[in-house]
Amino acid sequence: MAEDRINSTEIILNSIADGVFTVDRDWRITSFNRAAEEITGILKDEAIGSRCCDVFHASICETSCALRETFESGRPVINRAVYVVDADGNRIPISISTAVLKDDGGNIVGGVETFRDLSTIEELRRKLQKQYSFYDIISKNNEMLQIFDILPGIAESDSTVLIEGETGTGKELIARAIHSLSHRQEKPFVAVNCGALPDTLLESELFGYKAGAFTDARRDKPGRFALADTGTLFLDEIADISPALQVRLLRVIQERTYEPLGATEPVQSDVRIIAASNRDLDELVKSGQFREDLYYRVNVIRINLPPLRDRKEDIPLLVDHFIRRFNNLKKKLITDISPDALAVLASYNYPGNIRELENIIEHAFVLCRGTTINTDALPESVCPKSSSPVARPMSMDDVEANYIKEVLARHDWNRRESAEELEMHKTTLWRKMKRLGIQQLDKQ
Amino acid sequence: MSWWGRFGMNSALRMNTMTKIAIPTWKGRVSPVMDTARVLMIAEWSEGHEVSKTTVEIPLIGISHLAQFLRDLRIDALICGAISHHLEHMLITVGVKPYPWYRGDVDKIVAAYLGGFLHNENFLLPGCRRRGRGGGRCRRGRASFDTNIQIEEE
Repeated sequence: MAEDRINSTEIILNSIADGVFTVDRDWRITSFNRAAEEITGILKDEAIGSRCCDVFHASICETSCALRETFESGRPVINRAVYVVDADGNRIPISISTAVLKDDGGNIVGGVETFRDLSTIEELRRKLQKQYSFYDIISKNNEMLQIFDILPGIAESDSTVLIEGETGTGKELIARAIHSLSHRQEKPFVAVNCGALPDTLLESELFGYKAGAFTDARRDKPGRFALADTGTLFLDEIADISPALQVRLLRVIQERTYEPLGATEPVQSDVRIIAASNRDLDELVKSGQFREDLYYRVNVIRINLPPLRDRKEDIPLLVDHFIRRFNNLKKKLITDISPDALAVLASYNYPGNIRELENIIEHAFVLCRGTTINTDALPESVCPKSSSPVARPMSMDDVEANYIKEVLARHDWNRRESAEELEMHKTTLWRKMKRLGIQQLDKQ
Repeated sequence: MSWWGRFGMNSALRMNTMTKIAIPTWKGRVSPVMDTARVLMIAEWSEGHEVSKTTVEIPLIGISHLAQFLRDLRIDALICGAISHHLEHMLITVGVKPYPWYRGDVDKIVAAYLGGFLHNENFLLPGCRRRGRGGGRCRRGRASFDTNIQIEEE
């Protein structure tokens, strides 16, 4: 009878797709199902009786064994993402869950670990990541994907481009992408931050000077226009240049010639200009702070980059990207971010946009003690360390509710328009609002 | 008598050369996964005598930096447990000879290496014994040691 029961348990275990093994209190493997054999590449006969870490080879065996955690806390671990090194030396991404095994008297006699091969999901994730990245720019936001679509055409055209967007939205990355896609890709890409230099310096920086042009000019110095010859010149913060310099810049764009300081002959210029501004040039033209004729010369093709708060769906992708980048730069081995920390990041407003998110992750890298970024590694400006007992981490429902409220507020609580932006049916939106308890403030 | 004294020494150690080996350790045993090991035992031998023995903490770094880290420590050979083939190739590239897929007490592993019987089945991780006969991962980088020595079950 007992033997029949063991046999049927084995049949059931062998018929499921998840790997399952059990251990006794000495960490020796007592059962090992067929899926476990397939995922680890180790036969049941060799696994039984061995220490689980000698068979399982998981990334957490040494530092944060999930079974040990379950033994110590009595609580199960559910779906923790780790990797195992299989018998052929491949790193297999898996998700594991653990629970304790008790005898009839309620005594802990061992533990059970189930694990699922995530290779296919990981492969899909990588493909998606590739699909959502374009020359170092990462996004799955519709507006950004449309920009990715038109960039090759813009690059080919050789026209002057104006990139508008708040600070930290990636204007220079877009400019670099246009350059890399254009026929000028082998030629220089020169970037100038017009807001960083006083007017007189900026003039000599852009156009260069001849020896003797002023007291300290002992020899000729080529300007950025000369350095970028046959390539691309990126003029960042163009709104900050003085009216006098605006006139000189207009002349270069119109006539394709310029005169270095102290020169008597004009110099031909073959440079593609990409300008960028974090201020609304339309408004500056209306208020007379920016020349209208220069504006029309610069604004041949215009690209508007949305702020990060309007493309929060990109936050997980960007966090993942920055974790990989800082792992390389800082020689660290941080694997992921906890759901709580990600929820905090998703609910933040990002006045500094993607650059601010990058800084947040860099800050977290300094404070992170293990391999996962938790809320305690986030800066206080993002995740206030409140001593108040009412403070609690946001749940995914809170994050979803906040995001829906934001979209609704943007569309004056028009459900049809909001549903369109959220890419869901308006009935779905209504159901979500009901479930999450979202009501228009003046109707509450 | 020390472990290496009870058996014949590894031929590399019989010569008048300095050998520096490293073993990732965890609770006195070989760490289960080299890629995520945290402590490294490093021992140097010259003419069969232990010259020095230290442990160093392995920083939390990616595998390319990990290979560089071992190279900078001037490790000749690394005896370890499971290892991703990516890291194994990186080690070979930087000049560190890996002896992967071992398990057991570090002292016994060291003695086995010095005595030339490291590839005794009892030191091999499960999965290795089966594959070792016909090829596969366990034949990679393995030295031709004497096998006729019985070791207590690990």
